[in-house]
Amino acid sequence: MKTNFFNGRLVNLVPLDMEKDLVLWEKWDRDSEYKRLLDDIPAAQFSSSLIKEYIENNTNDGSLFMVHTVSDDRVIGFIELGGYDWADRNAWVGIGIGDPEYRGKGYGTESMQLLLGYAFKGLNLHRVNLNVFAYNKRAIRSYEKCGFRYEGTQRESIYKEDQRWDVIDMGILRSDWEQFNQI
Amino acid sequence: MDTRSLFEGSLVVWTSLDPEKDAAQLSKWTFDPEFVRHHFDGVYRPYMVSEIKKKFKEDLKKADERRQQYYFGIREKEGERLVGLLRFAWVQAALQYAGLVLDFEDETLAEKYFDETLEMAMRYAFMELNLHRLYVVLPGFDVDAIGRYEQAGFLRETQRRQARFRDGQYYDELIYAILKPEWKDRIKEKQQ
Repeated sequence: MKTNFFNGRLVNLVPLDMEKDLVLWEKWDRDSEYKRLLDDIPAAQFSSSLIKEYIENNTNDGSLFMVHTVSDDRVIGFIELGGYDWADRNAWVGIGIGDPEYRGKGYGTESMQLLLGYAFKGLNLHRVNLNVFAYNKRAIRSYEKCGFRYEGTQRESIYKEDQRWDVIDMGILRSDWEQFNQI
Repeated sequence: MDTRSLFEGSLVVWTSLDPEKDAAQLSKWTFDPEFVRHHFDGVYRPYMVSEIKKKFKEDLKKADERRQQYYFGIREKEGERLVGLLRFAWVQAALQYAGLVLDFEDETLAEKYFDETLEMAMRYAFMELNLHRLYVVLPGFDVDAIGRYEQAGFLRETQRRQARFRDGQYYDELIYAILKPEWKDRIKEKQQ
């Protein structure tokens, strides 16, 4: 039996190419709007060589993939599953579509659906978590389309532009995922 | 300026943690999976004294360099026996939030010292670290801790369904938080 978790209709998930992909990563990081959706800490920029060093020295066991388009093999973003807890069978997911041309068109949603298949069928996880900023409505819709459910609001956790913003917690159980995909 | 000590309560004192002196005791605490979860990565196991020394020396050094973690040993005022460990974790100065990680050696000591330590921790968080938000992550099975944080004014914000596995079954994981204006209101109410 052969299983392939990582090839979809719109995207393929491919491990990072250290030589080619980090230049793109550095370029995406210049987009402050993207950075503000991706992380709550102050938007910073790092050279591709420094990112490379960081990844090489990183000892976590997360699974990082670059998102490639099926149509022309363009690298448009990344998705990562990590922070595993093997007793709770719980993990965290993070995703960023760095190329603005490919946002809001279903590429991120399909990437997430592929990753959830890998998480539940490949890794036998019980649940997957994510955080999303309350102002990121597009991402919240995308996560709901994958079967994630709202689990709470961390009040006033982000402080930008002299305003406080909430962070939303979402989660998906294996049973949610099976029901959602009618497995 | 409030001239009361940040570190001295009526029952407990906050002091530095000393890996050399405290390691033997901390090693015993690692038989509690929750304590280990608060300080170690990876799959749960107890840790031996030499590992504890190395680990906390490194963590305290990093904490000093990066100022994102603040550790305090909680000691009984009489005799200064270490009874708990307190850490302000993931302190984000730009965002004005931090997590609170607080463990006592056992339930009897928590019963005695938790409430005062938490009052002191909130003052330190809002008046010294200048935070806006202080949060704590609790397993659904720890009903004693849940009650104490609720009593102190923390609100339940998030319920991660079945995120924690303990003794053969799943429990929810909860996020509780208190914001600076809420804490100030409570202080005012008490003074009235």
